[in-house]
Amino acid sequence: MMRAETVPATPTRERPEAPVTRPGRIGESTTRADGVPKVTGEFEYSSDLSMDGMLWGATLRSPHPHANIWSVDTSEAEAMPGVFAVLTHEDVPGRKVYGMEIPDQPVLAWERIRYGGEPVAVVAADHPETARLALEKISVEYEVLDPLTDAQEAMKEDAPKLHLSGNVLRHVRIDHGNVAKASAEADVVVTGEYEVGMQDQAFLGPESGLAVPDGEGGVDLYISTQWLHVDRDQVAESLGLPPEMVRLTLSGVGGAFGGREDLSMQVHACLLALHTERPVKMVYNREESFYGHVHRHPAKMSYEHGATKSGELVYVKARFVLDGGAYASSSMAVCLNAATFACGPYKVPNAEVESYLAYTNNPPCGAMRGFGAVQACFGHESQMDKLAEALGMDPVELRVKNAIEPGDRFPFGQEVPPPAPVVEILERVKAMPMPEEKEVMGRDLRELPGGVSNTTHGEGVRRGVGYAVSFKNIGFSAGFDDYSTARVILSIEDGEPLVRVHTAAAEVGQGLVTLQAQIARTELGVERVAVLQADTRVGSAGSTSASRQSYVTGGAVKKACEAVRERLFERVREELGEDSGDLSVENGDVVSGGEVVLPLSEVLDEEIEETVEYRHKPTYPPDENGQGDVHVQFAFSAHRAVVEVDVELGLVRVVELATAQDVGKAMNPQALEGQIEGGVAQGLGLALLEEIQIKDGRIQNASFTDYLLPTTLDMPSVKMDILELADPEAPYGLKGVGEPPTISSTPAIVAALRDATGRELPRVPVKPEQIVGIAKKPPDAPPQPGSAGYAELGRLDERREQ
Amino acid sequence: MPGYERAEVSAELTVVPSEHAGKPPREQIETAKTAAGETGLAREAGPETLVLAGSRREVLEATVEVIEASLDAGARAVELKVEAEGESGRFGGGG
Amino acid sequence: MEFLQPLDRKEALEAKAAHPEAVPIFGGTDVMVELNFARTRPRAMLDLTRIPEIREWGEEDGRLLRVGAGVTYAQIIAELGNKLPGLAMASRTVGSPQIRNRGTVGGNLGTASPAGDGLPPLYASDAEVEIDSTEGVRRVPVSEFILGPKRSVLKENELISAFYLPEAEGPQQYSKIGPRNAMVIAVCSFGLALHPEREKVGTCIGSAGPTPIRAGDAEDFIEGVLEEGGLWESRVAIDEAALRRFGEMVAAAARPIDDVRGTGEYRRHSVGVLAKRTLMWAWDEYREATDAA
Repeated sequence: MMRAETVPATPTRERPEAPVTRPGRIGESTTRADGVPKVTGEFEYSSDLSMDGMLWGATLRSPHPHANIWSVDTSEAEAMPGVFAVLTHEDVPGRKVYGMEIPDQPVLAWERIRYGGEPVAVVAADHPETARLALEKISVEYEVLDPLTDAQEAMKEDAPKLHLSGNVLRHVRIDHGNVAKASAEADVVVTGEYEVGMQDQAFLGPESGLAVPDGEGGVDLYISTQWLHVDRDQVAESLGLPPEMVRLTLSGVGGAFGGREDLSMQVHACLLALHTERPVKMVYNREESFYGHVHRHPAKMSYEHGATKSGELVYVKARFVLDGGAYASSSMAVCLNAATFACGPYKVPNAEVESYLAYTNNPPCGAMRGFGAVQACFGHESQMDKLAEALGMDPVELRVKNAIEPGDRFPFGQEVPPPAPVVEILERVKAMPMPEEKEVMGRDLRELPGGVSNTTHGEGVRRGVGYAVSFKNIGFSAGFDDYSTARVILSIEDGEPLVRVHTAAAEVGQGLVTLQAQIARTELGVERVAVLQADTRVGSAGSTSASRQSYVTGGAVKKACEAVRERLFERVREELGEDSGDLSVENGDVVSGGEVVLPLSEVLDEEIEETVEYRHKPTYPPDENGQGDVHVQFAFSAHRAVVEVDVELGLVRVVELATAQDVGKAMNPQALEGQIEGGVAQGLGLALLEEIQIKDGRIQNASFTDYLLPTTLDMPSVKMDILELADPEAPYGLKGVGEPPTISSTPAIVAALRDATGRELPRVPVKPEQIVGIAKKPPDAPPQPGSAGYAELGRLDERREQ
Repeated sequence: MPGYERAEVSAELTVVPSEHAGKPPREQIETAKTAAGETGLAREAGPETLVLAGSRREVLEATVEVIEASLDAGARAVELKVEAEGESGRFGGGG
Repeated sequence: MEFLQPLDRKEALEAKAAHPEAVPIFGGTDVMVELNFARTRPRAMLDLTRIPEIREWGEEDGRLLRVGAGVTYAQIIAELGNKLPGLAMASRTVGSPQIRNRGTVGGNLGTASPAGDGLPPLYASDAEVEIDSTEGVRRVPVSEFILGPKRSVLKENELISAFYLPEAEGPQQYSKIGPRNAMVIAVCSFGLALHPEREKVGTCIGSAGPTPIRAGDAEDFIEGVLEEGGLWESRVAIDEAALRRFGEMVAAAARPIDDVRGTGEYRRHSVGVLAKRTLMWAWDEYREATDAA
């Protein structure tokens, strides 16, 4: 491939000084240090990185969802002035595939294309537009194949195999009690078929990063990601380098929600940087971002619930088919998760759950906030409402009657650990005061469905109320060695004590940096805390996913602080004698029996540094009947939705969302409220708006013009009732909080829509068509330029230069 | 969420086709891949490379089957690397 | 790429004549999206933001208003809410405050998308588009200006300089369907204007056909109902059956397709509902106006 004339060995970027903060203690609301810079536009996201001599990378992607590649000719692109490298799979020196569970995804495709948008070649040029033009000069000879786009079809024996060993990636079966026997005992049986569309994480900061060669064969990568070490290991494997020659530093992350757990441009940028011996930046644009990360698995779910006349669940049968798309990503774990959450947080004496995950030619699916529990919850909560209706029972009463309690067993065999306040959160959310219902005619337009679009002045508007409850595993499950590493340094800087905290944990917006500072402040009694930039110079912190970082990295920081404190007290005892009593640190002084015995400055001539690993208790993979102590911790939340629907137009206004959630300990109440509001908004998005529409394997709406996220006029205020029931196993008793708000908000909204309209609404997102009773028809053809989104401008399109 | 169900052993096989066999090189590789696919343990890892992953016994047995199929198809060589995944130290080991 | 920045009308027209391939840009809310996604790579751009007269509106002979192509949606809402209520209502549904501060009805005309929110009010009140070039000025009725999706009669050497619209002589309405409550491109929309002096009803369906569509049969029908019942004078309520029939006739006039934003059937259904509702609202307002008088 092409070589640039070598520029002087590029220095690695300066490490920015970690800002010194004065956080509150745990339990006190503490405003995040990056809040103001983010609002004022001064925050440096990974897409803002820049270096002298930097080149721009760009990616050539397959327009076809399924194809053979017969040839790739890069010569014309290479000959372009300003182009420094054009690389294909042949230039991947190490492992040519990657993947967190199963490395089955090509870094760059070699002979088979399995989804539309799959990367085929990458280019580095001295200007982004040059790089983009160079892509157009690469000629790829494709043999276009029929795409396999239906997961059920893909599972059939005679379906074409997309991967060597077939299309069923995983099948999980949970067999609990005796469903065959139990089904004779049920007085009432309800069945249902439900469907969840493909939701996108829709993070605002696109995939981006900067790779800087170190001049000695290694590379530094500045990147927004959820897990630095898993990226590093995969990048190193594909570059054919030992891990220590690949160093990653977290850059400003503009949201993640699961979509940054897999690699996107990481290997590509490093390959280009090592080839050109120049720093290379890659930034996806909004459209490319839709092809650059995995999405939430679309699911088709069949359910059968049997209950006694008095409303006790007798059995549940569930069958899920999840569409994994072209590559494995974290589908194996999603498939298991969906199975374990299939029955909801209820006492179910007999259950039979089948969860299948199939490869198709659709875009790859993987982690997204809720991780399998979102799909399952829409299914089981829809069923509970249906059952309540069949029994003539109040839906909340039915749920309370069947709510699981500590000491019960989940259908997957695990004992329910305390606290498990399902009854309490349901009762609390029901008891919250209902929003005022103003006379519908003559309201301000913003208080009506359709808003200022002026579609109703009250005509056709009906109100509905719905409830849902959910649970979610916190932390990695099924035997994974789930740990985090923290390094804590206590020293005197500028005459004052300072704690520095260093982990590799990714702050993706959730507030972990502040939380780490609060823990250090609390444990070490020192006001000034600096949280160092996360990087791979310290051990792995695990992923920022599964709502696990407060628990696991929080636990690691706590443990490291305790170790530092122990060494500090040893020094104090050396100084003052063994009988110095119960020591503590307050406001920078060592205190015993309420008296200051020594200022910290006198024992910290030498700083104290400790690095520790923290693990939660072990988990185990399920056995062949799907039984086992699979999960670590369970978080519970309940939602109530009040909606108003224009039943003639199918437009919706969500009036209010109320939630009760057990968080164990509210570590930073302000951040907690933000997590709950954001999570609820994402759940509202899935209920009403958010879906990647796919036709013949092609994404139809890869833009924020047509992939609609809720706006501030769609998102109501959220009433919250936060329970702090300590988990005895967890640091500070805390529970993970990131995912639960997203999970039961969706079915609560749909239940409210059903209440308002009387319609079945078996699919999310619910479209206006469904509400007014017009059958869903898929769009006819990929939109011509001009019929969707940014392509609204066909007239300009026709003027495009050839 | 990586490595939930980490395979016990994986075997990476790279088929080196012969230019002089009865079948063209592409077909020799295809035959090896088809044989690998039938074992239920295989995935592709490059134009000539495939990986078998699973329990030690099944991977070793499948490896023999794929090597036999490759040689029968005329391959000149099969390069083999067997890795005990538990020892691989991937995903977060060390800082 | 050449970037042309004329400072007045004459310079702009000369620049366009010299560079017919130049893409005019004012607010950029359509054009910049195309550029950012590299969907178009024009050889030249023509920046019209420095031409003072394009940002102005004023009264021509009597009640006819001339609105410069560079008057933003925000200006229409703030300055023309009383004179052009239908257009102001439509302007409120466009994008976000930032977009309304940049975007213009002139841009809607230039893009000629059937989903342009500014267009149905122009159709419903028989607007005319002023087209300028070095060869002279011409005026074209808006329904003849737009030929099809993204197609208009504008020639390569021409620029849209303004549109003419009569000041409202009666109630006007605009309604737009979008699956979310703000910042959304119309799935379909409907504009309606009552012209009591002429005893006419103007209508236009947006985003449910290749161009905005006037529902001529529905207009004739409801004008007949109003005339036959002497309702213009009596200001009595239009009966439910007539409202419903009007809605059905508007629905029948739509020529919608299925696309990523909604099905054709839903579009047809919804414009019918919007037609019925907007007529009812406008007629109520007309009736109330007397009560007050």
